[in-house]
Amino acid sequence: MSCIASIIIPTHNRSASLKKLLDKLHQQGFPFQNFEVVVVADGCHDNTVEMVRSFKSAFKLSLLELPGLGAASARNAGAAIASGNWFIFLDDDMEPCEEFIEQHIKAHSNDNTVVIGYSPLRLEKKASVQRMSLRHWWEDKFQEMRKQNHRFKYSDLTSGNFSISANLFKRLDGFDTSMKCREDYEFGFRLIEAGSQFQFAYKAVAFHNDEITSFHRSLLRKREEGRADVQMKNLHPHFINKQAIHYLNAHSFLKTVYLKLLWHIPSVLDVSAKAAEHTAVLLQKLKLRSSWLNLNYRLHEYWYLRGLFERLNSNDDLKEIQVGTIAVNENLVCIIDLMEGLQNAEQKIDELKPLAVIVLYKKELGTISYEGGYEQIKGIHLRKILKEQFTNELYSGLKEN
Amino acid sequence: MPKAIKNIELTNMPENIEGLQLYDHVFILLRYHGKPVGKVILPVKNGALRLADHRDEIHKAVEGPIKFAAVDHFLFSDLKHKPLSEYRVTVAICTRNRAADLKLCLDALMKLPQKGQEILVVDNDPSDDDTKNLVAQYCSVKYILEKRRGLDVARNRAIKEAGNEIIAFTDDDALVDPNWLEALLKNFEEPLVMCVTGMTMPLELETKGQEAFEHYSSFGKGFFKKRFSYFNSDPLAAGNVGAGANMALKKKLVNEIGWFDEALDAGTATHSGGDHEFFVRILLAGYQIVYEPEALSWHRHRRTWKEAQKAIMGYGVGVYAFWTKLFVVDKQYTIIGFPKGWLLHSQLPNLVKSILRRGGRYPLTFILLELWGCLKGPFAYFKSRRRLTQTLKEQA
Repeated sequence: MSCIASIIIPTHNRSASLKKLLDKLHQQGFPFQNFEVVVVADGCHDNTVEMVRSFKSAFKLSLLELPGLGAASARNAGAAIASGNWFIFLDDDMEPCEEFIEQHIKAHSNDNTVVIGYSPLRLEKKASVQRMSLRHWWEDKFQEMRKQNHRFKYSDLTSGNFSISANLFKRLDGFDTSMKCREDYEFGFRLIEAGSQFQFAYKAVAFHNDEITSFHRSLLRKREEGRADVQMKNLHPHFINKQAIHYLNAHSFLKTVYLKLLWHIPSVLDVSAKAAEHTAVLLQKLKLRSSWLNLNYRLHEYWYLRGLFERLNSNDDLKEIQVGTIAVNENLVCIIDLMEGLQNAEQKIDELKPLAVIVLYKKELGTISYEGGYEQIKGIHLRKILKEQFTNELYSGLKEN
Repeated sequence: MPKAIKNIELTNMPENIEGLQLYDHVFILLRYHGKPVGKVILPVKNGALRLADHRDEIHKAVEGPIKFAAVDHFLFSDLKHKPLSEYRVTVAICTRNRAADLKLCLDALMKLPQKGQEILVVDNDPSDDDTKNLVAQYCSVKYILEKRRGLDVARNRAIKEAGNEIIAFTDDDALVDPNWLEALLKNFEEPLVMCVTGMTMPLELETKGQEAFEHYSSFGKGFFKKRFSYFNSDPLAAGNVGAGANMALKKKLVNEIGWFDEALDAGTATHSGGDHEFFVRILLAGYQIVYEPEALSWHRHRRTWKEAQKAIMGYGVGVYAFWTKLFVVDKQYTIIGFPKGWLLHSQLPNLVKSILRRGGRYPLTFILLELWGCLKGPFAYFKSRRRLTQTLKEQA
């Protein structure tokens, strides 16, 4: 028997917060007979399994046990036994609002949509600066997606709160289980390339009670991300690694030496990085803001590059990962002239569906180039992109009037 | 040498401004499709100002901000901005014994587009019934009597009494622009933005005192919109953020960071600083403050020289008082760098310039009074705190 929605929750030793989440699902306005919950206990050795078994629910609740295969495998396994038409993925540290399921389902217009929910990070009182910066990062991401003219990209897919039709999920074979980190970005990439439509549902709120992302974990994670991004590039040659390009920008002599050192003898700086980590903790305690911000940035850069370099085998690989533009077939480039009016330009983009756009206004302003993992450019994106990319060029044209 | 105050719309610039017989200069706010983009002071000749003679100066004055204004206008003016969220707002005016000023202030508020806003007047420790009687003439304005003296006491009372989620503060001696409230509100759409400050321009520059005050401590923080957060600017440098005379905040903020410090600001020994200290706490808690130049209000600086002097000394006291609090109570030790920076990069050079009688100098008395105020600041803070504790004890 199939129901409308399956809530799939991978979990790893967080019985208390999972219990809270299940309680919240009991408060859903959505009819209980219309959804089911699938908990995938992955490598749990606390009382998660007993808790779920003894949980008395008014909705259908299934439990799957896995030996610790990671989040991607756990989500796929949950999806394999789920019977709903729509899969809603939730992390175990989320607290959904009452209309959560309804808002997700409502936002889907067809089989081809992916709906991303809003997951504001909840901070404890007197949160550390590190945690505040985490909230800042998440919030920027969500507020950007909230704008109507936002052009979605692979990294907008946040696996802790999103929904997708069962058909689309199965058609793409779900998450890539070889990814141990950034499996959500990778899935997002494939979804976008397959032409699915991303949507953001600001009202599909699930509060994010992430209490474990500490400074140290954040650095460990950064190294994982460096490794994962090499994997991403291997899987998707059209992926432009902006983070690596940014970090590898050798803007000074010192930076050049540092990068060379890190490339040739990777682990030699680990000891200083450890010491720097302790220093950073101390700086934070002493409330020395700018020194802390600086060191924090450097440490994240360091561990990202460490991870990246670990997986790059040759100088050619290193060059490859820094490629910033991807050439596209000339037939898929369109030229728009803003002198003909913005609405005309928008229409032209919507009709021709180009991969890249050359923008003219009295003279050539520049090119909106193709990027892998970015949603097909639409007319509605145009004005925002023009503002972000061509304010100076556009103004020099406007001044002539 | 009084200055006239004028608004000029750049897309519809008149040739001349006539009728300036009483003035020798004009202070002009330059707008582009209504948006403030710059200010310029130009000389009057034979009772008039020929704008065509000053094209270059005007262009120079708007360089930068006009780029963004023009591009925004080109790209977005044909679209209707659909607000992502609708807010209801309470406008609060904290006042004390200034009924004549308050009348002008309320009249300007009556001209705002009606979006169901509530207007509160908090009458702070008044010596007569003038304010009460004045407010009674406006049926849409609510009157609240707060007997305990202090601007921060009154601000806290306004927050407690406000019926809406957002509270916008304006001073009793300021006139808001018709677009003021809308411009403040549109910035609250993002949840981390807890406070928005606006731009303040002089309402009149008729007396020596007003001109000197405007020159010395202009409220204007520039024509670029800015977003302040812990991660892009030093939260302790709150002077850059704006001022309490033109700000709006979310009511729920006080649950997160506490109330305005009642030991600070006007009506206490510290004279000022309550707004800036509050801004610091907002930023330290990881929230954001937006400075929005489109949220414009016109402030009538005190008319007499004596009042200007008092305000400037009060500013010195307030700044040092809130720095003292940050150092002693909040243990923000990096604040130590601020007095040093202010002294070496601003106060001392200004003092030297003034003594040597160089061009563009400030009146020597202002500089000395500000320094004197700074010296008094730390003592004023402790004194004010003691008094506050005592008052609260007596009340309890």
